[in-house]
Amino acid sequence: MPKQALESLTESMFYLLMALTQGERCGTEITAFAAEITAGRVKIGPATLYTLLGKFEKEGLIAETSVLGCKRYYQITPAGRAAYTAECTRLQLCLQNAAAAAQGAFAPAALPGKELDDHDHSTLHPPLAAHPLPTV
Amino acid sequence: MTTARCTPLWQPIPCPLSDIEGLESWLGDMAAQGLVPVTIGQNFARFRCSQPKAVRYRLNAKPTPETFLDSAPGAPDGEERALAQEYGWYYVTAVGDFFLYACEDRNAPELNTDPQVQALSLRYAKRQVFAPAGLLAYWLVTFWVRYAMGVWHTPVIDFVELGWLSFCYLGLLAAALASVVHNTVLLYRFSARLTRGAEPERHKNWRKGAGRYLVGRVLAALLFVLTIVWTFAGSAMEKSRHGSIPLEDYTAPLPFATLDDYAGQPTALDADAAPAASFVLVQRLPLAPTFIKYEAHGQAGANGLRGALYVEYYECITPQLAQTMYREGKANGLHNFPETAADAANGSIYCRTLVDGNKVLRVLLFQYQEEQIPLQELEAICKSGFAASGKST
Repeated sequence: MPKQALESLTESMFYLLMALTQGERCGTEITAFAAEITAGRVKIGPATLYTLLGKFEKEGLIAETSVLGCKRYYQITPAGRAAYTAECTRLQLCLQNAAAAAQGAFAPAALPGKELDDHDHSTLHPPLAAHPLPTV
Repeated sequence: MTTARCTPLWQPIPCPLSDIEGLESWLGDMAAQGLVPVTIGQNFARFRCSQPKAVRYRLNAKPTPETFLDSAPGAPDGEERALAQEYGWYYVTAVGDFFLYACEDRNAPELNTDPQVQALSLRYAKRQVFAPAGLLAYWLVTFWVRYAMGVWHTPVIDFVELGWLSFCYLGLLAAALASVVHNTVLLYRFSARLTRGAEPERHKNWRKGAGRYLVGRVLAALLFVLTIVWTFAGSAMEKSRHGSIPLEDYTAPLPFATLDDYAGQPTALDADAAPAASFVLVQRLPLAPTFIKYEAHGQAGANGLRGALYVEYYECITPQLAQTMYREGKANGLHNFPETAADAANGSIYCRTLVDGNKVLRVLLFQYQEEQIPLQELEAICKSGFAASGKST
């Protein structure tokens, strides 16, 4: 079944919502936040930001609070928080599954006549610290 | 080329406006030659001269309007422009359903950094690419409705009579459909790639396919001009009966019964009728290599036939086409007169359509004299003149 547009969030969407969980922000502040917290890994371009702000506002995930000149300030809505929390949960589960796989859980059964590969799973799956769910 | 000696110039656009990557690459290459876009139309872009420089051009889709009936804005709003400007991008002009931005700072981030979000932004553009198809469909449906309701009586006969102009119209229709399909495929493929997370191609080879595309546009434009000119010229020629020969000057035999045949004796053409009212027009049409239009107004002697005879004779390229035209003509006689019933009481108005192989004959005869020729006699004269093989209503 094809995914709906906002069923799982891209990084840009995720960090936009993350920025607004900390308080009201305008577009420039959102992109600055994303660049800072990811050490420059996630850059939200102006057109991407503009599209997301419009889309999220239309979907009710964020709401405009004030306008200062050309700058519009937004805050996250309860629906936005729920979407953000759901995404955090999904990502947390992914990390937990990766940690379990690193410990050798759910390893494939040995085929007849073949020995299990003597891999050090920890080299394939670096140890992952458990990340508690953020409170929002 | 220095700025002082360069004058603004128009350049043909080498790719469809839906080829976003091609258009962006082309504009970047033009800037590298010192040509900066000012306005971009459907087929041509106007450039002004500048120093050659490396400029990134990006097309950003217009936002979806609030309601279906609204149209997208003509320029980006203040917030969008301000956001772009903060990152080194400036707005240039609108291009179809997109806004064109430019950036000369190679270190500035891309306008769109998330392909999947960019795919979301294409929603309005993807809807608009279907707009011409919707218009075409509406046009076709109105023709079909007119035909189904009996308003347009003889589409096939009209198509045959239009001659090469019919094929011009079909050609334009085909060109419009091909353009819609091409633009739709381009945009939807691009959107699908973005949705899968693929980055757009920043240096697409726009030269590949440009020649074919431009030749296609030139041919479509020529066809359009030809159709317009031909439509007006054809209408004027039809009104002036261009190519027709006055009946008294026409000496070649005709493959159907003439007014003299119906009268049974030579007729004197009506001097009171409009000039050149009695004429013969012989044409060669693509679907009917022989088409003869005949009109005669006259009187035979003091007590003979006095009336008017209208005939349209076709030798079609196939018997199947003749059969189709026969069916149309049978349902809708010449000049929209109904076919005369076989048992009609009189033959003051005789209207008949006949077919024989690939030949079709449409006849309309008016008798004004007191003692009229009986219907059965008219039928016999008509059929023997056509040398029909017995096919009649």
